[in-house]
Amino acid sequence: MPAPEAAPAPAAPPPADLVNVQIDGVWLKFPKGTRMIEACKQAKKEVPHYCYHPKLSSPGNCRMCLVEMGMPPRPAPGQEPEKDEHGMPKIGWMPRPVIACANTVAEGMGIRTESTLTQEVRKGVMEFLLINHPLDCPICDQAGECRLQEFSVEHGKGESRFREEKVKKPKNVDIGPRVRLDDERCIMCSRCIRFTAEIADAPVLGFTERGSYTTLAVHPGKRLEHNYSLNTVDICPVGALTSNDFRFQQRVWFLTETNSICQGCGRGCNMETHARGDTIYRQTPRENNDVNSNWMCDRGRLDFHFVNSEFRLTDPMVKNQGKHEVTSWKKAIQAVANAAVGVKGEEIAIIASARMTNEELFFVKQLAKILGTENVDVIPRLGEGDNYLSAADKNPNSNGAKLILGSEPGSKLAGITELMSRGRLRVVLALGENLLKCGFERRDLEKIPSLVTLHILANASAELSQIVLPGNAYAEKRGSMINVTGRLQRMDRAVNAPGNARDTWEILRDLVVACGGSNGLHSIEDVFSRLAAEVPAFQGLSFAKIGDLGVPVLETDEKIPLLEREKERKAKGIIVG
Amino acid sequence: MAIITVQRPKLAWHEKAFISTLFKGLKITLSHALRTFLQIAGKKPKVTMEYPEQKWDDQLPDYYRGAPALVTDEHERERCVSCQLCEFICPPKAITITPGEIPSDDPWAKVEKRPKEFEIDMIRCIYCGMCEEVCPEQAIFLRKDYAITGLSRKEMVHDKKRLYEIGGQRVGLVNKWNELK
Amino acid sequence: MAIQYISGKEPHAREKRLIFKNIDRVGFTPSIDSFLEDGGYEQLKVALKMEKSAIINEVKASGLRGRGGAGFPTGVKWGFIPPTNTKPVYIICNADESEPGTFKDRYILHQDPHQLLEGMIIACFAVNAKLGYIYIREEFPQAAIIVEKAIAEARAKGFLGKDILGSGFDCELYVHRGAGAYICGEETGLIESLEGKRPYPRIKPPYFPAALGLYMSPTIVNNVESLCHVKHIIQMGGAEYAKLGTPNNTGTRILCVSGDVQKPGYYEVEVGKVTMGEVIDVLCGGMKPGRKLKAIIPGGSSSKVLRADEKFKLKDGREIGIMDIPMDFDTMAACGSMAGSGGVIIMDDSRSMTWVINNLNNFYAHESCGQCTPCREGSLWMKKISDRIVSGEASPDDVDSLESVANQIEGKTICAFGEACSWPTQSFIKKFRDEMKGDCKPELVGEIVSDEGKVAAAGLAA
Repeated sequence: MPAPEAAPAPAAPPPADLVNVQIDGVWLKFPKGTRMIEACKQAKKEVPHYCYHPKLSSPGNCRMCLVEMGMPPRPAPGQEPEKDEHGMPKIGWMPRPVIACANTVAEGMGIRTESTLTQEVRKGVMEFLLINHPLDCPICDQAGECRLQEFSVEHGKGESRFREEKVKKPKNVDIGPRVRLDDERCIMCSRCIRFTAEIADAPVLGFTERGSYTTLAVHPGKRLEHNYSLNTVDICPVGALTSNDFRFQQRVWFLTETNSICQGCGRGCNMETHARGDTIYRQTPRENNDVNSNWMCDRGRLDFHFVNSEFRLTDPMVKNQGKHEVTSWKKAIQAVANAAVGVKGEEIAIIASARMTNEELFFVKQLAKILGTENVDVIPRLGEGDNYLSAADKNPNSNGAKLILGSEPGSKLAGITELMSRGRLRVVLALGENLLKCGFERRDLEKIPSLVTLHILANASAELSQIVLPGNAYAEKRGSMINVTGRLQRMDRAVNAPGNARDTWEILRDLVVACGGSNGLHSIEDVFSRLAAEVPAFQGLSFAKIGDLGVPVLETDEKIPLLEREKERKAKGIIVG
Repeated sequence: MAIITVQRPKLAWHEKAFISTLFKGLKITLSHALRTFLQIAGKKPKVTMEYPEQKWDDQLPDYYRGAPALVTDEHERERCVSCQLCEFICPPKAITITPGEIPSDDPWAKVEKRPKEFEIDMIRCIYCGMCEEVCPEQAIFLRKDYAITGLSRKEMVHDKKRLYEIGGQRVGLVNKWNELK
Repeated sequence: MAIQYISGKEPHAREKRLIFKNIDRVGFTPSIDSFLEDGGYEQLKVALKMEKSAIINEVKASGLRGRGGAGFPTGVKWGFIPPTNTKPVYIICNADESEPGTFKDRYILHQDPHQLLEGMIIACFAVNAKLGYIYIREEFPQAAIIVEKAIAEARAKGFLGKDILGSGFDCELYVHRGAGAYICGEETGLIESLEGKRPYPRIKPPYFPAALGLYMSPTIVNNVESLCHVKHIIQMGGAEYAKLGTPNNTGTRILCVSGDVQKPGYYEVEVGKVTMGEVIDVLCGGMKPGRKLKAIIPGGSSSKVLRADEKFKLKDGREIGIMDIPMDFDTMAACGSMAGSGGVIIMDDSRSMTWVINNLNNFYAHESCGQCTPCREGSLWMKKISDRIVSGEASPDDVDSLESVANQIEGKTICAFGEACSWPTQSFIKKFRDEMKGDCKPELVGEIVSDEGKVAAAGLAA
């Protein structure tokens, strides 16, 4: 019998398509097709730019990213190219600078980001940008995060020799409900035009006039009013487009940024909360290429004013003869325990919220177990998603509620409502929801002997409750949530809760203890570790391991429309991604 | 390293007994006393200014740093645009500003920004002059008054009205907001 | 038909009327009948029987260089279309003649449009373009009407449309009117305008028209005169055509002479066979009486100015004066200027050079498209500085600022408009620095000159 043929050896992996590029004297390797500006960024050499953005097409019109470039000259036929001291072909430097944002690297290319030519060119472009720019720094909101300011300090001339009159254009133009335009400050980089046309599919902005009188305007009859208009304010490198909500509120250098997650819907767009002291002034999107790219919708972004509202609950209260009286935390918690312990499980209901963090829901589950009740649910909120980032599920942590409480959000509500209307419930804990807005009837709620509300705002539901416990809002929480795509993400505390309000998770823990459970968890990290031990989806995770960008923990079929389209454009090479 | 032996100085008997140093000290004391007597007698100029009977307000040098105040210009416009640079640079954080918008029907609507509230806590103020130096609008200046007193902490906080009162009008500055068209 | 020209407009003996043969001709009309009588569209019939690559080779052999200003070899440009191309190819005729000093294409469009059409259809056949566009500037409304009529006539006779003359080749030509912008003469600006957008030139790389032009398909953009030469190249053969003119500067070109000469106008000469002195003295009858030559702009306003008393050193070591420069591409480039579009502007000693450069800066500031920073801001700044020099409110260091600004624009822009607006300023200052500084007032050094600045400083303590 002939010997069986040996199986062919597996083919070696093909070499990655890398090219050699010399940046400021150092030879590095980059994948073919990398833009020069990205190559410099990876080599830790920042190239100043205005019009370039990794998620938008590159028009190359600001000319700020001009760098000195060189290619090895083609040798005469039959001759070897001249080599330098690294053994690489010697580079012939071109006297004319090229833009780094739209050109890709090639084999043997050399880039100089700090040479005399590059510095002179940058000084020149900077000077041109400043000659018609108005003297608005003291009144402009962009001061402190203005790229014109930064680059003129780093790369500018330092002195002006412009003696003429500056070009005058319309200022303080109303182009939409949330965005204000100042044409004199505009440097005509066209980022806003490209964003509204390419990403938001609403090409309402465009240039009018020509030459130095070019003016940005909304097209006749149009307004910049779609739900993603405030992203143009983020990407505008100068103070031409500013947010009406943030206008003249505070200077940016006083604000501290904290990583957090938007609570507007289940997408869980990563954002930064900017606050000074205990007041939030604005929220901006954070880059996360698995969730929201660099963008965020206006509705979610502007929904923070309630955190500083005068209607915040600041003290625990207990109803005494029909009137709420402020009491101490110890007494309030004890009052809840007195009302609930000993009552049969079927006569207790806990209505939690899918706006609570995983850690808080963990304690809700424990509380339900201790009180022996199965009547635990969260209020679902289904709305309409748009074709960009906004998800149809308007609760930020539905997946967390499902995972931890073990049931589909809203599945037990009908049963609870039934029990309530028949007067069968003696204790109802409303945690984070205004029951009157969630489909419960006032007359049913009035039947409940012990209605406990844990909330942040004084609302009708709290008005009816016997015991009111002030919790903390999302910006004051440290915790984790799972978004609709199954990604576990972290939020951090940006401001402190007002008055005597406490962390919701701590209140729930104290309730658990008062109702007979055990203590032992004193920090969010410990809570999460306990969660990770009990929930298989969190296996191996810790609060620190979630990281700033989150980790995927669940498999879902959810696709993010805006990100899908960005992937397509990246595949076509239009954007860097 | 070589060891150098230092000789003790040889002292005379009056130096050992501190008699000469005694006399040297006494000489200085007596000359000071004589000078003071002569000052009292009016023969020599006094060095001590007897405040508050004597004040040097009219001899304050140009660079003297008194209390900060906000100024208006020739057109009675409040120069401050609440850029909050002084609030940032103030070392003891004595300045608190709430910026606000100028309504569009105001004659100075072009300037767009004006402080809603502007407070300087004079108890915190250290009269360093950083606010005057950093102001891009030439709106805040340190005046020559130094005797800032009050009977309560609340009184010692100068609000916007008071600051413009103290500051008054100042001409001779750059008026970059004056309209040309 | 015998050739007779309108009295007073006869060509000069030194001219070689190839393209302009029918301009000012008695009895010649823009209609197709005149053209056919004269033997028109015969070359189209010849070309349709040739191989497409053969036509391109003939054009390459002829050495024809673009007559729009850049002087790029036309045959090489046609050869840039990738052989593996599957997208439709377009030919665009750039009839947006806006270069100050140039006025040759207008006569072709107004008086001899069929010559252009024949050349363009041959070119379309050669590169396999089924669609051609003639972009006519807005300021030529009559030309648009005439050319559209000519296209209709050609289609009626079967020279356009489906299966032209039974060759199996389809071709349609359309006229597109511009809206009054010099930047639409830039090839990618023209393409953007044709697509219906604002004429912002595209960055090259990657948007070379031969690869990614109109609707991101390969596109060839040629000047009116260049396309007319194609017909004559087919007629004579490339090698024969190359005998006209001088080596590497072949064929004929139309010079548009304007300025302070006795007989300004258009003159078609063999490239390089006529010197500047012959143009002024022989063709144009000399300078105005009693006036001396001061400066010449040889190739449209974007080319660098030449001083009358300048000496130029050539590659072979010779030194020549301005009157001896042959009117070709290479020598003119070696003398530090360019042949450009043929707009020769003669200036005598009655002209203030400051005023001239101010006039040019006004034009460029008005025509800048505003896309990229250096040209947008710099062109208006240069205009404002030269305005002040002309009106006497400038100090001598303003001339240095002006030169420095021009240096900051050149080479840093998306399209050649950066060079177009900075070269005149650079060359005028380099060659006439003393005159320009003489128009400045030294006492204004360090003084505030703008009205706005004066208002802001009005209250300042002394």
